[in-house]
Formats: sequence, C-alpha cells, structure tokens
Amino acid sequence: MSTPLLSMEGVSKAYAADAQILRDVTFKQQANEFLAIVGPSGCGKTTMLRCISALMAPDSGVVFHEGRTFDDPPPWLSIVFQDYNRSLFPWLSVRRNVALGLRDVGKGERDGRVAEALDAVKLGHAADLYPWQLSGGMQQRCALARSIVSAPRLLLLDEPFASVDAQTRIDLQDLVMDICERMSLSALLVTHDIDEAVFMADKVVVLSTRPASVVEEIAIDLPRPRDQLTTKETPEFLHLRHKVYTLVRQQAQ
Amino acid sequence: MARDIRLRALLWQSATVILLLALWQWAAVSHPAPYLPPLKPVALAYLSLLEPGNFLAIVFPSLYRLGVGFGVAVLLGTVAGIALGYLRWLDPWIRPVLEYLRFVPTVAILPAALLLFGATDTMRIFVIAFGSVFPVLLAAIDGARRGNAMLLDVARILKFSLAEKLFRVVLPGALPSIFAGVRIALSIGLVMMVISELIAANDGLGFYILRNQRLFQTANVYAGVLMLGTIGLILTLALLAIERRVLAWHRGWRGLADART
Amino acid sequence: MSAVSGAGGGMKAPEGLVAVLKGILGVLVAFAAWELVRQTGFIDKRDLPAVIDVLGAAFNGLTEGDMSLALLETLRSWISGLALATVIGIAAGIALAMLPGLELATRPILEFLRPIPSVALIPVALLVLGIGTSMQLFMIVFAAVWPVLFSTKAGVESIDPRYLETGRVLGFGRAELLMRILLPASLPYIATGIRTAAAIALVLAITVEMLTGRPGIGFYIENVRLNGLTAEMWGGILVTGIFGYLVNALFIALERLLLPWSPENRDG
Repeated sequence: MSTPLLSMEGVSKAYAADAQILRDVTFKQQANEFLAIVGPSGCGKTTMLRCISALMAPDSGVVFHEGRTFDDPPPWLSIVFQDYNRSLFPWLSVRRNVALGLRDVGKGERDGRVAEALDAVKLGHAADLYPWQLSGGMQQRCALARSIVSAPRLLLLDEPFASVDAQTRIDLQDLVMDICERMSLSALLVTHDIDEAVFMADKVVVLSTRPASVVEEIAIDLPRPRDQLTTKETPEFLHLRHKVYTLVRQQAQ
Repeated sequence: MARDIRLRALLWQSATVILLLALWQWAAVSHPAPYLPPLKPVALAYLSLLEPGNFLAIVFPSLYRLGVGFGVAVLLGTVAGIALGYLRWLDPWIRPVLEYLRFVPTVAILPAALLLFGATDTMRIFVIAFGSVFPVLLAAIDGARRGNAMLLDVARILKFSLAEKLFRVVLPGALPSIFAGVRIALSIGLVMMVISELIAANDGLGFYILRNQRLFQTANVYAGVLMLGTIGLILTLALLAIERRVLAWHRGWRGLADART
Repeated sequence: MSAVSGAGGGMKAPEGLVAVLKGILGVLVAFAAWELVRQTGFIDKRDLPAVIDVLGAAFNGLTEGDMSLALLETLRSWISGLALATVIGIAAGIALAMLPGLELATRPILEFLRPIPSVALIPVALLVLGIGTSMQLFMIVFAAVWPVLFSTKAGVESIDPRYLETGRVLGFGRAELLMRILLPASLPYIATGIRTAAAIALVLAITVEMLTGRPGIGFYIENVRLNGLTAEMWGGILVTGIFGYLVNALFIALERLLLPWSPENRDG
C-alpha cells in the first residue's frame, strides 16, 4: 500500500502529571478515505485534532503527513471548527473570509475560485453579507467554503455540525459528503454523534475515555452514494451502528 | 406619532435654552459685572475667532499641537499595545511600570516637560501625547490579549505570516477596544492642550483665554471657552463617525451576541 | 474538591512570586533606561538627576515635611471636591433618569457643557470667584461631577423593570423604592463613575495649584522647578504618581469590599 495520508504513531499528550489526555494513539488514514473518530464526550478529541493539525506538538509519538513530520500545519490541510461564530473573521464579509483561504494566487483566479467554493456550499447569494448576518448553518457553510477553496487534500472536521439544529445538520452532512466525493477529498471527522460517524465514514475509530487511546477500528463498507433515509434503514447500517454504539457505551462506563 | 414626540422634545429643549439665554442677558444688563458680559459681545467675539486671520493666529496653533500630539499618541499606543498584547509573556515584566504610569495625574508631568523642552511646541506636543497615549496603549493591550484564540489557530492553518497575524487578526479584533481608548484619549488630549497653553505659551486658545481674563475682556474669555467646546464637540462627532464606519461589523456582531444572551 | 483547589493554590504561589520578581525586574529595567538616557548626554544631566537622587528627594520630602504637607493640602481639596461632586452627581443622575421630562429639557445644556475641556473654565472661575478655596473647589466639582452623573443615570436606566415591579408588589413607597432598589442596583455603575471622578478631581486639584499658586503638590512641583531643585521636582512627580495609583487601588478595594455582588467583582 502507498504512504498513508495521515499516520498517528503512539501519540501521547498530557497537560500536567495527573492530566493525561492522549495515551499512545495510533491509527492510519489512506488517501480518499473518510475517517470518523468517535468517543465519549470530553475524551480529548479536540486535543487530538490539535496534534493532528500540528497546532500542538505531542509529548511523545509522531504524526506523519504523507510520511513527513510538520511543526506547522501542512499546506494541504484545512480545518472546520465547531464554533463557527468564533472561527470566522467578524470584520470580513463572507466573500473575503473565504478569500483568506487562498492568498497565494492572482486576483482574477482567486475571485473565480472563491465564487466556485461559495457555489459549492450554496452561499453564492450571501457573498457580501457579514458573518453575523448569517444563520448558524450558513456560517458553518462559509467556514467550509474557506476550508475547501484552497483545494486541500485533508479536511479536518471538529464536530462541525454540533452547534446547529437537526435539519441543518442533515443538510450539512449531505453537503460535506458530496463535496468530498466531487473534490476527491479525504476527510477526518471528529464527532460524538454515532449515527453521523457511521453514516458518513469509510472507517470509524473508537476512542476510550480520557486518557484517550484507540479501542477499535471499524470498517464501514456501506455503498455510496448514501442516502439519509434508505442507507439508514439498511440492516448493515443498523448492525454497524449497534456495534459502534456498544463500544462507545462500554467506554463510558 | 414618533415625529410628534420629537417635535415636542425640540420645542421643550429650545424653550430651556432660550430661557437660560434670556436669564443671562437680563442679569448681564440689570446687574452689570465684569464676569457677566451681555450675549452680543460674546457672540461677536466668537464669530471673530472664526475670521481667517484670527483663526490662523489663535485657533490653529492649538489644533496643530493637538493634532500632532494626539496623532502620535494614537499611533504609538496602538502599535505598542498590539505588540505588547500579542507577546503575552512580556506582560508580567511591564505591567507594574504601566500600572504606575497610567495613574500618574498627567498634569504633574508638565513642570518636567517645561524643564526638559522649555516653553516650546515640542513641550506642548509631548505633554498632549503623554497624556493621551496611556488610554490607547492600555486599551490596545487589552483588546489584543482578549482576542479570539481560535482565530489565531485559523490563521496558522491559513499560513498567515507574523505581520498578517498582527494586522489581519489581532488589530481588527482589538479595534473596538482601541476606539474606546481613543475616545478617552481625545478628551485628555484636549485638557492637556489647554493646560499646556495656560501655563506656558504665547499663542493658542488657552493663551488667548488667559490673556483676555487678565485684561478683563470677559466676552473674549467666554468666546474662547465656547470655541474649545465647539472643537471638542466636532472632534468627538468626527471620531464617532469614523468609528461607526470602521466598526460596522462589530455593532451587528455584538448586537447579535447580546440578543442571544 | 478541596484537594483540587489545594493543588491549584500550591501551583499559584510560586507563579505569583515569579510574576512579582519579573515586575520588579521590569521596574529596574525602567530605572536602567533612565540612567542610560542620562549617560547619553542627550538631556542635560542637571535636568535628569540620578534615580537614587530622585528617590532620596521623594523620601526626604515625605519624611521631613514640605512635600507631605503639600500632599495633605491636595488631599484635603481633593476629598472635599470629590465628595461634593459625588453627592451632586448621584442626585442629578437619579433625577435625570427618573424624570424623562427634565432629561429632555436639559439635554442640550448637558451636551453643550460636556465637551468643554474642564480646565478651560479655570480662567472663568478666576474671574468670578478669584483665587481661593472656593474657586478650586468649584473647578474640582465641575470637572468630577460628569462621570458620576452619567454613570448614575446609566445605572438607574439599566435596572431591570422587574425589580421595580417586585418593589411595588412588596408595597414600597417612593422613598423605599429609591433607597432599597434604585440606589443599590445602580451602585456598581456609580462606583465606576466615582473612580473615574477621583482621578479627574486629582488632576484638577493639581492643575489649579500649579496655575494659581495655591498650596498643594501641584504648586510644590512647579515651585521646586522654578528654584532649580530638579531632584525634588522629579521626586514630587514620582510621589504624585504613587498617590494617583493608591487612590485608584483604594477605590477598587472599597468596591470589592462593599459590592461583592457587582458583576465587575465576580470574574476575578
């Protein structure tokens, strides 16, 4: 097999002697793979994401991106954070927020690609509004557009749908899957929603309670494209969901 | 309905003003005193201050000093404040010195400035800048420190350079706080401008007011005070207008946050 | 729970000590910078005495009399001016907030008086009142009354109407409503206003002393400068700064003590 896109090898992180967050986390993600990481709430998923993105250095262990290590986020990586209202620049319009993701290309090309990204997230009509004028779902779509405008290879999603209402969440899930498919983009979704993980991912990594380590990796071999209704009604989906749910609940006890 | 209320408010307010002016005029005529000039000479003196020659000789020197001193303070305070606020580790080193300097009553520095620079424009500009730099500096430090840490993460993902981080993330985030500091700085700057001209100058509005007080030209004294009030009002309004433009994003953003809580 | 807070306390003490050490080092660096400027000869050494001489002059002035006497004079006019400004400011602030008609009618006058730099009225006050205690008092009160007035007004206006309704349900009369609800609920605002007013009152007291030669620390600083006693002048400025700092610290401590429920004291 070729070099994995992302490889975590024995990553540990502690904030103090008695506050270990990650312990010996090891897993791999192949290119074009949609990976979901689930675990009990408060198990250290955000810390792990910061280690993956090289925003934070682990105490021990190594994070490889395409076989290399990085001190700063690799250029092909982008993140969508959970707190959309704090991750968008409030003083910039939607269009200019998205354009920040693409600063090393000429203006003409940039305008075109920003417009494309906005169309991809169905936000073309709101390009000149400020973030505070948008609903939560629209703000998160703006953050998504900013993340994909640079055509990254790895998209990190930090509970991106946790702060929006149920209907918006379903729309966003479909949108993200569709975009990953079309742009052949690998995604790493961190979530506590088991339905969401099983529905969206090719592989689910289950974490233990704090200090988090990998309990099991479960391949999700449901056919694509997936549909919110039909896929979720198949016995295979229900079986996988049951399996992941049982594992997570065992951790919580 | 709303217009009706506004009209009535306007009527009441004009009535109060006219009543007070009438009272003043009546007192000035029936009980003449050196400190109570009738309205007409005050108005005439005020208008004469606006004549180009007088404006250039009396008002302009004050405006020039204020402009340079206040401008230096805003620039210096913002740049230093952003840098100090961004470099958090520096804070414990400079905090005691800053906390001390901010509470020095600014006038106390006047004799020292006189000693070091003499009765020059440098002295007046220095005093104005010294007085108004601290509100801006402290507000900028505060704004930069309270900045949103997640945006700095986003900036790292987006490969911002240090300059981009400072100018595109930290500075805009600190601007609301900085503007609040600048408003305080403006009023302090005005006070320092007047004091520095009262104590040592041979032109400017402060000097004009003091000289006319000594000559018992009281109409001129009141006209000078009125002119200072006018300047203060115009500058404050100008600042608010700039703020409304620059911080348009902030009002909506904050309004929404308020509505949520 | 107690174990956790105990551990936190144990962590904090050395950190606090380190911060204090860094702060002291910062002050020493500032002193060193002063000496450096002195050594460059850019400014006449007589105008910029050595730090040790300035500290000595401040110490001598405070222990041997004339500077501490001047400081006491300033303290006296400052306190009386601030007290008067506080009383007037609170009364006027409540009146303006409670009587919309009055607020409406007087708004042009307030908006007109506010942007005038208070010190510009010193010559006017000299004309009307001459040089003396009443003139200094008037100037301090005139300058310091605004922050108290406007913050009191803002405080009263910010009171949740439900408090007032609760008071009515409890059968409070007008006086009780004022003393039991309006005043306490707006106290955090008023306290902030008084703290601002205290700093302004100090500036005005010193300015009047400098300009009119009334005894006080302002006159002291200006007088020693005229007599070429530069170490004493810098010492006076140093002491004035410490005084200004202590005034603010005192008011913050009072707020903590008297208004522990104030939003400003909760997060600390």
